[in-house]
Amino acid sequence: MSRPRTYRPGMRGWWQRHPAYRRYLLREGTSLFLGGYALWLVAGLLCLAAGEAAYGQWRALQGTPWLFGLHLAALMAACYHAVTWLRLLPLTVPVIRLGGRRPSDRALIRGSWGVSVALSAALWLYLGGGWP
Amino acid sequence: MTERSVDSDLVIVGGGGAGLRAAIAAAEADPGLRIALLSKVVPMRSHTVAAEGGAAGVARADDSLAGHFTDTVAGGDWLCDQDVVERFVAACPEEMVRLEQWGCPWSRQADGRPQVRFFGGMTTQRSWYAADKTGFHLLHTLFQTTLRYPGIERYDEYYCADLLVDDGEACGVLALEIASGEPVRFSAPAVILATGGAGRAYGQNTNAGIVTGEGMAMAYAHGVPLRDMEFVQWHPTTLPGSGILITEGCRGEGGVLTNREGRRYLQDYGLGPPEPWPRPKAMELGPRDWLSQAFWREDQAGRTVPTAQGAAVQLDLRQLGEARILERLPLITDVARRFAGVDPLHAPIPVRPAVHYTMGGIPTDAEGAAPLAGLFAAGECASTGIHGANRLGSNSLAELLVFGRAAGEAAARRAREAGRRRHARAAAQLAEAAARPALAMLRNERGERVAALRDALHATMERHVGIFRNQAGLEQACADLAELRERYRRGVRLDDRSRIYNTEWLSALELGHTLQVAEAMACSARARLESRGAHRRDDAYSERDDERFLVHTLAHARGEAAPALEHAPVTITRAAPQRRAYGAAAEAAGGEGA
Amino acid sequence: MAGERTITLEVQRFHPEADEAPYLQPYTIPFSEGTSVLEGLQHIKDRLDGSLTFRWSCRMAVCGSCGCMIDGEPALACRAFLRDYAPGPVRVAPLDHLPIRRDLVVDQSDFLAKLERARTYLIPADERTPADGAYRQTPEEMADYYDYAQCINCLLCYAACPQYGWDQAFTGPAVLALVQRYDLDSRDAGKDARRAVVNADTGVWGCTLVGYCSEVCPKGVDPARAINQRKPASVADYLLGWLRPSGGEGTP
Repeated sequence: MSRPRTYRPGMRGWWQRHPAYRRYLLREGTSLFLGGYALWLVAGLLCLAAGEAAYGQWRALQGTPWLFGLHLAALMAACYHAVTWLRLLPLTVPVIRLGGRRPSDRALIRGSWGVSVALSAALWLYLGGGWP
Repeated sequence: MTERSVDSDLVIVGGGGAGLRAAIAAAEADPGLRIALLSKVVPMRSHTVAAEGGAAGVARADDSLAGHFTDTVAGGDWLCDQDVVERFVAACPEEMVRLEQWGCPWSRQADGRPQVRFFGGMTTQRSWYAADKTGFHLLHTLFQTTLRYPGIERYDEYYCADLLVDDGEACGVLALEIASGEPVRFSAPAVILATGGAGRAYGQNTNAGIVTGEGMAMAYAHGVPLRDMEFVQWHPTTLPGSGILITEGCRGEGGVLTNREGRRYLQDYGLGPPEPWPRPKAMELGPRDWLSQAFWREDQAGRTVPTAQGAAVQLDLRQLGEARILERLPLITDVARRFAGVDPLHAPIPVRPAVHYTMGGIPTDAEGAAPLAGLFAAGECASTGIHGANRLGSNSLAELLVFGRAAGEAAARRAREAGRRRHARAAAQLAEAAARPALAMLRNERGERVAALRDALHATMERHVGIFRNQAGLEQACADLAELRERYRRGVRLDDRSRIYNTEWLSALELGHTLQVAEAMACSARARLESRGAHRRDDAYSERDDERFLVHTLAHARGEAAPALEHAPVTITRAAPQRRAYGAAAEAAGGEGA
Repeated sequence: MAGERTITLEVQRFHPEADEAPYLQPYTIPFSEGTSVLEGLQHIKDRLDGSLTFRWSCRMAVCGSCGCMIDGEPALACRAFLRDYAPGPVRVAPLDHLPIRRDLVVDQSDFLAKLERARTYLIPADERTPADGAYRQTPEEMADYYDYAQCINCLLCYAACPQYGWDQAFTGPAVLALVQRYDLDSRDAGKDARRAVVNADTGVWGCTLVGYCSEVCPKGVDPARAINQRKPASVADYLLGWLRPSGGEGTP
């Protein structure tokens, strides 16, 4: 049985095909900033381990305008990532019942915002921070 | 020419509800059987998918098999074979439960038991339903269940072009693999036709594009008569223009029909009195033939609502309230919004009748056996005798389960007994001969377009073989159809001469079959000089005539000539013919048919 | 079909014997308020060009035959209306990510093969017969899987899924949603039988939650949810697989 050939279109320029794909890339792309920021913190730790001079240099770099800009970008990216991540969170929750009922997506999103704010606050207090 | 062949124990043509149920039954009866399941579409595209309202089966303590029997026989205007109806109603509940055990998401009561709803012409709630997508869930449940059985080999997108008959026995089919256009011979000692109805003989219909009647036509061409073809059901509530179905379940839940003046006009047609909520076998829950005929009379009297797509009446669901509409009728809500631009939560849906179902077909016994050795039929293409002159809503989904199973089991028995290779040599030659005309069509240099012939067919059937018929019109229809068949023989010219996925070629082949079935419909109608069920005349034969016409019509094909017609007796076991009555009139008549 | 307004459909054509690659062919047709894209295609086929090839059947958005890309979005041609694309032109192409057989007809066999492998049918705990009666299942229990049971297998979600576009080994949205449909059914006991398909790299882990599949689904199935709500259980299977060296089934 010789099946007639078929044509399979490629994926070149796939992200141009639909805004949904570009939104997806943006969402995933923001995680690069988070990763970069984490690496920067690790670098700070390594500097700390290396001695006071190195750590001082690392801290001094923090104040430069371009690094301040990068931090700002990382903060915005982190916020965008957090918002989209929590918006998708209900999709990853298995079928559960609370008080005999399945929680709505809205309740799950609000609940997870509550938990993350509470955790952030606890961390802040633990680190001995006062009001900024 | 036909280099490819498949040898099986059983060939099933059609992957809708009846074909799938037959395949499962055969595989369960004999797991060793090789079952070839052919369909011109992938099974879940079959037209069963579009059934909405429900499947009948006695379920409630206050119901009885006798009740289902009586409703069915009275609804069929006493043209039902009562022995078969008895077996049918007795088998329905088991099939509904079986489907439940295969995973069908029947709508439920709060305590977890399946729910049943009212349907037209039924005394009580006995239609099992899955919201308003009953056919969809039924078909997908059956399709997914077939995946359990390795003996079922699917041949998706194979178009069955002809039946192979040798020495008075069906021995296989000739199919075209649509993807390649290659002819393939399927040989087996038993063949089940489950190819559906022929609603596409009409222009305004609720049917999918694939419902073109070729199973009926193939059997017919090989000497099997077609029975009761004059009985074509108009569904009273469909969207004007497209004919998209608006389920009877709408009325089962409490929707009402009003005319231009806002009057629930069915009270003027012996179906009253009007009460606000569904009352079984009255008003909006009357039988489909009466409701469609009432629409026709309202239209004649100028009391319908004009729309861009023609006259309509109003189906008003608003009294159900939003929650119930969205829970029980989600598909209808979407369809009305998208296809009619009407939100049923806030406005009535414009509806009118369109052709919906072919009551007649290939005659079979209660086991699905046709009067040709080795041939079986199930579902809409078959005429088991349970629908008589008018099918009750929700009896057809039940039918394809009950008789799909029966045919599957009977065909499996025959396959075991007959053995495989008896007709092998003849089958090859028969396949060769069957493929020739189909392939020749690709080389036609002259002829008419498929659409031109199809439009002419629709015009004739709508005009002359409609809700109301008369002798002059039927004579005209028979003449028109003879001429159309002649034009078809002279030639159809295709733009597309390729063999690869040539859907124009397939429509041309389908049209040949539809023309033949349409001719059987018109000629059978011409020979029935009375009015009964869905066959309603407005000439000298406007009354039922049990003296002469309490009989089945059998149309025998005679090649290029019009069919030869004969009549055969109806089997009556326990319900003698009475006058059909609904609404208050039925109660006044002492509960006949109620 | 009679209307004064006209619109141009740019339809993607491809014939495996004649064409090296697909190309666009314009057709100008009349349309009115209620004309669907499918009716537009039918008009072309019946009156202008009988060789234009596409699938269709129920024309009421329940059989799943007529999926295609309309102006770049996966949609059912019967459920999309030309009025929404006026003044046009509107581009109609076969579903993305699937091999094209001819014109708008794609090859669905990969999907069907995956459906068979995934065992998307009810696997009962013990064989019941009709004499045992129907299972009890409350409306709440039914709600757990009901949305996933609405899949009409139209493959729009596959055309929306770039992961499937890159790697056809990915089981894909509709099949995984149907797996979840049965796994969540209170009558089913077949979760173990379907575990291998779910936990594989080509199972739920092939999904990166692009989420477009759920946007295009004409039946509100939400396959992205079906797949991702299964990931925690898949992780648990994986970890348990480490704890119990003998029970290797949970290993992706």
